[in-house]
Amino acid sequence: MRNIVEARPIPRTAPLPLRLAAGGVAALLGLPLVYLLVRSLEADQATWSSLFATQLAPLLITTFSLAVTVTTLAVALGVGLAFLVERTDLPGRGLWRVLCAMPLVIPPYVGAFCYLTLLGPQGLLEQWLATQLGVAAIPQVRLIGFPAAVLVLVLFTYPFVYLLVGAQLRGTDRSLIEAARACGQGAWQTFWRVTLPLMRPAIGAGGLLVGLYALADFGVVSLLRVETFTAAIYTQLTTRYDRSGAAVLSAVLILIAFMVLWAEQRLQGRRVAQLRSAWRPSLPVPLGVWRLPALGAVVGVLGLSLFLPMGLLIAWTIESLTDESAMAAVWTASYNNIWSGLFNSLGVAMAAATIAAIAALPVALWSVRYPGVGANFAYRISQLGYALPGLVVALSLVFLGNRYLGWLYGTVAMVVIACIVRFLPEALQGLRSALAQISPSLEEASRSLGHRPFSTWCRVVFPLLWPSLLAAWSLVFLSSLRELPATLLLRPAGFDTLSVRIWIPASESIYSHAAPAALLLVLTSLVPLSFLFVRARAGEGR
Amino acid sequence: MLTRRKWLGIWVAGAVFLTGIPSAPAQTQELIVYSGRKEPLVQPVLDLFQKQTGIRVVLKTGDGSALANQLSEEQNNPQADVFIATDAGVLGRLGNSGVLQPYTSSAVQKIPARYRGTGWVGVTGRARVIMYNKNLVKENELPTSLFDLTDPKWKGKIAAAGTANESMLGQVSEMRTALGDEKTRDFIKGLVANQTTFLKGHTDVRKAVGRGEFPLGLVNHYYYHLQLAENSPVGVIYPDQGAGGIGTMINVSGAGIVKGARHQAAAQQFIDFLTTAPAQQIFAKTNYEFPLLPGVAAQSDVRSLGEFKVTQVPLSVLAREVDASLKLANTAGMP
Repeated sequence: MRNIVEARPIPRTAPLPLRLAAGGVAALLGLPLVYLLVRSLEADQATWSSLFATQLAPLLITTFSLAVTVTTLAVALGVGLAFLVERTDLPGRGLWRVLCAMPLVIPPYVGAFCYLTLLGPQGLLEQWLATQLGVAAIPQVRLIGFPAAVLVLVLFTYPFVYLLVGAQLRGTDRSLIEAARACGQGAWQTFWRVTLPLMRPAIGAGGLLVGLYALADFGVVSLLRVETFTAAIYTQLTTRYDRSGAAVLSAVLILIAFMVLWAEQRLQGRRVAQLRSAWRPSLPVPLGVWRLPALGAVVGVLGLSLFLPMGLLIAWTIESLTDESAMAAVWTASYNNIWSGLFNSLGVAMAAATIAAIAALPVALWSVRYPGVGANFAYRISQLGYALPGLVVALSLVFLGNRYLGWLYGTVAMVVIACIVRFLPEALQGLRSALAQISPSLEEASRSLGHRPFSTWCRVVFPLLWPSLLAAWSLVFLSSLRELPATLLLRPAGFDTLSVRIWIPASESIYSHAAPAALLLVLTSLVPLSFLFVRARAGEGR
Repeated sequence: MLTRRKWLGIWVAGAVFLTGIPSAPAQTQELIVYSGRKEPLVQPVLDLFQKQTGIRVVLKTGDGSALANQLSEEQNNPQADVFIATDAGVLGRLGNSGVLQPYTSSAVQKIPARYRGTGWVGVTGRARVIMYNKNLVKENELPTSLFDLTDPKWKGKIAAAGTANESMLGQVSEMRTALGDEKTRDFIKGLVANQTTFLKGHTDVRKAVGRGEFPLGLVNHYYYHLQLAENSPVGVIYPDQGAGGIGTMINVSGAGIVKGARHQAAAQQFIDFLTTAPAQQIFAKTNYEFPLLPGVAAQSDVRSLGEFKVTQVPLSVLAREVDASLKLANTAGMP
């Protein structure tokens, strides 16, 4: 019985409409990049040489170490949790499976301010300890700078890896494991030689999301005082009137993003597709004496990434309900209150998610089914938005909007476009690995029965792709809901989203005013997250 | 399967519905304000204006320089009517490049000329002061001049904002104009040699001094009052008051009309309103700043503008000198 087939692409050139659609999407997403390159080339020699002489080396070192450390730890955590929940007899795995994905709904900048209040300089922990010991300050217990940023970014981005790897583990046929065991391989050898290689595309895709997030993150590094590229670009943008400096730094960041994308491509290696006809779920691995320690580890991670920040948000929200000035400013204000913020956030996120999920389809289809120079180029260009800091995307849109799209500029559409440019890569990643999992032989069968490509696509590919499309939609929705820097800059006057209502009081350290909006944002994010689990259940029932 | 599709259908329908709604309902009288001033510090004045005139004020707050950059980009496609900023350098820069439109009236002319510039008018003043933690510094040891901060006895004991902060950069420009580049460079090198900690902003500085992390902090005067209001043991020094001293440096927050603003009349009405006593009083009350309209008193426990020696530098230099000041500060080691 051959259960694995090589997912070799159909040797045909892509239909013209597909190429046009995908090329159009890539061109639109590539515009900010072009703007940045033009701007960086406009910079005079002095700007380049002074930036390169003084800032570049330390920024490169900090940014690279942060991205690599965060990605490594997040992959380890995500794979570990996914394996424990999907493949072992961990007590209460049904509950943990859901909870382990939950930190995704907490924006990392919200997590960062929770940790800063707790463990930062003169945070709650230090104050408590200092009172106990009768001293003024205990700098040794402070968590700030690089280690703090690593902790926060790992805790709130590992679900990207966890979700993708979990889905992969659930979808793997038991017979592969049985075959390995029947050939005399032990449990560990089976893991290294069968399970891990099967997880590779999911690890690659998840790790890429985490790595790119760490490269582009602005909120966490600036709150926790880590000088990375994005923080330096922000300084250039907000305090200098010559934006070519920011453009030069951004151009370097784009090159780094290209390198990450290239590395991911190397990592993915050969694609493997499975026929689902005789599919059976895998049997759990007995943990034996490790059951309780494993349970403790899962609960410990969730305590740090979910229970603790949620507890703080709930406590601060209750505080805001009992405090009169917070009540007036947050809940009952006639203008820019929390409800108009919710309404605006939902509108932007839904529009962005819907357009992004649809627009990602042609690019994914072209690059998976008809790989070649053009397809690969379109795919790489479409990926770049995620590595660009939101502020840079926003500024390029300000520039393009004012020059060429005056009628569109100053409307909500600009915020939606920024979200699409930034987050379409998330949809693209998921759709692409899902398409790679659908065996081309199904399409070949359809074609051999006389269906044209479009008809094949509607009748065969789309129904199989539907759960992934929903997942892609949910991911973009989640990210757009929490998008901050681009929204801050591009929103029309009077149009505040929840993230803006979090940022304004939080930047003034008024946490009781920021917490209600943060909590509402988290609760709203649960809706799209539930779609991701619908998808997971559908995968099991197959 | 059906429920999934139904759900998605509902969400998509919702999205189409929501995005189909025009972002702002059409209103006859409207005023669009970009503000680099923080929302809680500007909203009370906007509320009063809206109440008095019936004009609906639409606000966008953000980082002052980021908004100024945006206004420059929007020059050919203006979106805002009025820009409020907390630094004469930012305002002057936009005024000089024609983003803000010159405007004058009898109300505006009541503000002293040294607090006005091309296209902008000062609304409130803020002084550059040293705040200290009373538990960590004895009264008789206090510095009396900014230049005392370069004394090695304050090594590791000072917090300040870096050049990313407009007020700090403005201070460098004023110092350069008053004393020359040489002395300013020595001052900054002295601060750096004393291992001064440069934090993100003045709120961080005042909190750090209030909590006792640092004995001294270099801030705008109202940060001292804000920290005092949180019952911290802090005091304030208005530096360089002695004979031969250059005086305490002043910067202003102000406003200007955006060139090509769609609501010209309302914008002019608003600028005039900012220079009237009621608006000045609100600013004085909410943020302890000095009213620039002569005759309006500061908050009771805040010094008034006439009560201390002020560095005699016209604020129009801030816009002109900002690049040179930045370069000097960066090469001297200030981040």
